[in-house]
Amino acid sequence: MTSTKSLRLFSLLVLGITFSAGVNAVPEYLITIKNHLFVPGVLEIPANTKVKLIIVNKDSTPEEFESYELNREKIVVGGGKISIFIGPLAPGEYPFFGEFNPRTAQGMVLVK
Amino acid sequence: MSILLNSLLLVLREVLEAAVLLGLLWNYSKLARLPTRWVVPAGLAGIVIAICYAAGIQLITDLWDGTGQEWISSMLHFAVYLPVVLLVGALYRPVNTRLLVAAMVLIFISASIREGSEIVVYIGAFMDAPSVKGAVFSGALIGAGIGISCGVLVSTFLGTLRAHQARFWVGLLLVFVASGMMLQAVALLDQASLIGHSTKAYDLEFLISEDSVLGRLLYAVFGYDSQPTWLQLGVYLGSLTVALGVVLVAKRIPNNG
Repeated sequence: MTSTKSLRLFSLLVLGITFSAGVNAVPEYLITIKNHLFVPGVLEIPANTKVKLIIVNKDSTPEEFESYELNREKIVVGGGKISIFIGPLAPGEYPFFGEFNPRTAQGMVLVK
Repeated sequence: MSILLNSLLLVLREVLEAAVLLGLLWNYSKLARLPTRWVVPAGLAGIVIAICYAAGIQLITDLWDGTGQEWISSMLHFAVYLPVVLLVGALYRPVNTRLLVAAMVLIFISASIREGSEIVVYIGAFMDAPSVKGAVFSGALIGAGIGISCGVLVSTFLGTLRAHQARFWVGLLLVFVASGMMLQAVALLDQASLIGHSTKAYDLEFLISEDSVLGRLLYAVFGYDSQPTWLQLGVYLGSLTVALGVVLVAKRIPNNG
């Protein structure tokens, strides 16, 4: 009986930890892709805060948002929209780029 | 970076993983004396599903409150890891032949879907751009050729080893490739905020940058991450431990058959 209760409590705790990030509201920031450029090119966000990036692709062709520093990678179709969570991050510069058009599609998250 | 080189590296990165996996599975089939007839149908199925996945990428993206890509990709990674654990255990214990073939088909199709769909989306993006289409296609063909050649080289090299050596290396490489996918799966779930936050464990960018050619190739084959979080590291080490533990147990338990 005790072990069943403990197991339930442990499960709830694990679920709580696992999904707590998804439940809490996080600040949202918009990045637009237009003519294979990220706008804004530099996005400033607060340090030690989880944020949601909303990336809207206004081009007709797809792009892949990628960042080694942020450890993120996601395809956004032409005319489409994606969301990516990042952070909490330490202050610093975190570059990102469009993998399909890396010559022009460059940007940076500036954490202050 | 030129369009041709970017195309080459992007396609190479995607093809390499599937090619190396196929090379390992091909040698596994030989070692376990399993049929290799599954390769062509599994390859075709992987290509067809990858095209369908690419065609429906917006629909997939919108699933589960915008986390569809992350959910499905991470599930595909799990769909590689779990059958690999079965396969490496079966290197030292008898397991039903059909089950092993089914495991290999699942691994190859799962790996092909994610990598193949990205290639389809990428090439599709330049179909209506005559000025760069040639460079994109040329780079893609060269990248695919190099990736496939690497897979053939790995397969040929393993084929030259003695049976016990080949068994060791095929098993070990399968475990490392599959555990790398588990590391990537954690990053995907974190990206969608489906798991709690974890801080960075270490930073190896000064040693092997993920942006370098070597870093990209290591990422493609072994899921190399220069800045993993503690959770990623824990899952990676746990995945290695479980898979290698299964091999050790399979080797130690006496075979009744």
